[in-house]
Amino acid sequence: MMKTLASIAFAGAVALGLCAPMAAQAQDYPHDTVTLVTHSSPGGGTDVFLRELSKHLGPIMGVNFVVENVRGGGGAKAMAKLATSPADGSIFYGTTPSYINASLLSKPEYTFEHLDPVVNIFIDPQILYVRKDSPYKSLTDVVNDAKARPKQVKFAVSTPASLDRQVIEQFKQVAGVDVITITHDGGGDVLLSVLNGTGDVGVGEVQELRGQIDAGEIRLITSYTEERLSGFPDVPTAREQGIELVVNKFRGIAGPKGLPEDVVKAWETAVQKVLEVPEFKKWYEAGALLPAFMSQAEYGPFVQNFAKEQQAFFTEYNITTDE
Amino acid sequence: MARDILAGLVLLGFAIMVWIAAEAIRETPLDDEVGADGFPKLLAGSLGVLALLLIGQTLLARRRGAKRAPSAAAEPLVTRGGTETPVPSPGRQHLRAAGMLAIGIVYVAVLETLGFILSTLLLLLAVALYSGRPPTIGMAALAVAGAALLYALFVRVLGVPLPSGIWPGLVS
Amino acid sequence: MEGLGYALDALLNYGVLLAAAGGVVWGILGGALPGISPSIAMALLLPFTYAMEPVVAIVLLASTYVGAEYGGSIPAILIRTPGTNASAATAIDGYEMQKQGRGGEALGLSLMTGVLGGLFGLALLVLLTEPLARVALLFTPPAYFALGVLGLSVIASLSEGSMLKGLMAGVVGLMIATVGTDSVSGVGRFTYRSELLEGVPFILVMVGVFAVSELMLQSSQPDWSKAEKDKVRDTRLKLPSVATLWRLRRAQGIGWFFGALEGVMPGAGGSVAAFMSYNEARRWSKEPGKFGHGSEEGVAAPESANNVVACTALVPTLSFGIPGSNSTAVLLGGLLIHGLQPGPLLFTQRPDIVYGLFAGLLLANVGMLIIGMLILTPAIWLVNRPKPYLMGFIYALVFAGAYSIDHSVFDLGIVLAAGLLGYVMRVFGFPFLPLVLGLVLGYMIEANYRRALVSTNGDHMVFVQDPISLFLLATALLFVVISGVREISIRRRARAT
Repeated sequence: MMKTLASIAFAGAVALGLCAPMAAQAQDYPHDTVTLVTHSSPGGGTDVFLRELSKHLGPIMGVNFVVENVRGGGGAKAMAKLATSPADGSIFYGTTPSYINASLLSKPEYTFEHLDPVVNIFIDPQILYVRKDSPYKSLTDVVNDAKARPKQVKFAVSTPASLDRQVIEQFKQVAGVDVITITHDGGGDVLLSVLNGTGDVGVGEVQELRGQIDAGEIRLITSYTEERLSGFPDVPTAREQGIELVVNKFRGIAGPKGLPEDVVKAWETAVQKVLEVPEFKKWYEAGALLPAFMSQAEYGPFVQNFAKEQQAFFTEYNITTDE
Repeated sequence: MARDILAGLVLLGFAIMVWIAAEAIRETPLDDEVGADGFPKLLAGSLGVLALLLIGQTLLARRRGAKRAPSAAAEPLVTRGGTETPVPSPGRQHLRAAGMLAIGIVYVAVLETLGFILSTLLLLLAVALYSGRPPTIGMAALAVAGAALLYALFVRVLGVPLPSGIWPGLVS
Repeated sequence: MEGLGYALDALLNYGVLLAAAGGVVWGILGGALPGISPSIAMALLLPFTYAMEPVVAIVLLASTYVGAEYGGSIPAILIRTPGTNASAATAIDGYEMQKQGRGGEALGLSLMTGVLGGLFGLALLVLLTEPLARVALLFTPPAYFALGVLGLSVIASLSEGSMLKGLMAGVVGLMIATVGTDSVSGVGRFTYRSELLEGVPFILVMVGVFAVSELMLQSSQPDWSKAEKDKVRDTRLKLPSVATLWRLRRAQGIGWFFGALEGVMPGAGGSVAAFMSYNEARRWSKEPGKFGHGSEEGVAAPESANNVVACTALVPTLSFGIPGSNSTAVLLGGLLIHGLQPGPLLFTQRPDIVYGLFAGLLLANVGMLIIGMLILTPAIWLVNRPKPYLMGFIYALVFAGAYSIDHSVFDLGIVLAAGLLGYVMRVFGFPFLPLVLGLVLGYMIEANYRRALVSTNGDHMVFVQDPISLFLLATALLFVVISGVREISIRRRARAT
């Protein structure tokens, strides 16, 4: 009797031992509940991302995640909340390029510089698409046509202050062409414009176009990524078509300044793990998100560099001054 | 009639202000031919022209009207539910209305310091007292109930944060 | 007709029933509170839907939208405080009716026409999603621009006898709409230390101009604390008779038409639909003079339009997979969270969801009639409190609602400024409607005018070449000419006497 009990205990110990890294980590993390703040409203891009992330990251870190939507000021309110919160690992912020842009454009009291980047998780690949009956089969077709007919080819992009819009300006420089840029109020409007012919080429993300891609109403012609998208192996990157342009629309995590090292470590290991969770993988592959883990050591300079490029763009185009 | 001239002058001044502010809008290579300042300037210009027209029209009507009896000038300020009430003096009316606005301004000024519940309680009391009601226990009770109801509705039911004031800071 | 089976399944699913009822209640509550827009009411619920069955979650969100579009008009009628942007159109005549002691009628009318509109919108959604989606594609920037111009053209006819003041009010409304990030270049305009980069939220202006100015005006009255008690006390919900509804068929038809049209056009949405149908109902009315003085048509038209939109706005969401408005963006988020990909394939891949949603919307619209009647009783009770208490409460409600939009005290300042503007406008005899029209339509007009020109490198011919644009602009011109002639003849007559 005793023997069986002992063996069970032993078996239990082995089992515990096997998952020791996980259990140890769960206990190591200094908080049971961690708040993830986003400036996006519920159902918005970053909101859905954070909720999906916390579903899978929670068990790994042994933490209960709460997503909090702090709207207002294009992210200024959320950044202020983070910057004034304790740097103990209990609260984090879901980062996208818009938190840099909001900092640079509206110059709120608290900006991205008051936050510490923690890790990066994904890159949202930016893609170009056309209507199914469009004559353009590739980016090269577009470039050739734009060279033959300057200021005639119409690119549809989302909001005027968006990264998508800036990329068109870079594209014009890199490709040496002049095209028409039509701004819209959001990705959905861009899609309609491409469908009804107001725009010839649309700029967007796979996620918001999935329905139309699956239905065959639109066709991808390129992605501004390092490598081809795994879901679309036939779509060449811009680089392959001779346009040296890669867009890094990042999605990551930032926190208040001065986070303890063990907290950052916990995130770094956990995020690497969560990217391998099959169910999470299924979700992010469907949205064509590229896993792009960056540790704090890489992410910090990356964000700084990104901000510098943005600032340079805004100054060059006189959108804002760089004081 | 004099009212219309005053309105015309104020709007003319406003139009000029908008035009000047529109001049200050940044110009960027990303802009189109119309420009970010195009539409605001068009509007400012239109408002200016309309204001001048209104002044001109009123002056013209006045000159013409001077030959006849004054007519529309005596229209009552407000008609209520079809029955017109005698208007004492418009000046005092406007003062009373301004008082109501002032209560709102004070409320906005103290909201973040006193917090939603206390400020709202005071707002409800202030409006009731402003109406000339004598202060009673019932009034205070209603003010408390009203503030609590709104707080419950927004913060508890809807989960929308309202300012809590300096109080939580004092406790900790 | 296999869809019918799925719809029946959903109808028999008590979760769907509960979701429809709960959504409507929640929506009416949120809609009735100024500042809690339909989309925010939905967004607040969204986190709770994660654990639900997908069809229940979607029905809950869609029912909230239906309820919220209706809920906004309750305070609009009772206390001249539009709960939603769209219901500002209802406030104009609905509150006049209330002042005349016909508030119960106005509430009944808005509820009934809302329900009928909702059912009509649902029928369109179920039967005509495909063709309606094609209508959405017909509208290009020039057409959007022309539609906005048609909406503004009503200003000319609106302010008979004082066209100048109407035009000026319209221009000021358009000016407020220019505040914020420029639609083409992305630079800030009149943004005041970046506080206003995202523009002035319409609801703040609406609530200020309508509600706060009313508070100021009422407090300026002698003995205002004692006045009018008896009249308001009689307010009881009174549903319109079939004969009344039939009499208002033209106004409702106009509401249905614009609701259907604007619902499927992304970016237009409920407020444009409500104001456009108010305009046109007035233009085509046999008694246009009654508008602004408690016209039943002035309530029926925007209320019908509102609720048609709540259903037809789902057309672009379901058929293109894109949100046409903030509210449908939240609904889209709800679909995505449950792993559902909206788009043309949703109908074939997940008919259970689509037809379940339709069934849920049917329940929501029918349920709204009953729930609306139940909810109106406490609402009317609240409004029957002695005036000084009621006014304080309205003030506080306005502030709480305005604060909840962006958690910003600055926004409360905007409300007060708009209140002062509204009061001054009333004193100087400027009409409100042009101001709100300019506000609602300004962005649509400017942005699309410039986009149209950008896409043709500055060629204005595009407005004539696009058939929809040509038709709408010609109609607008015709109306303006007719109103101009009428205005002149009125002046002549006035001078002759």
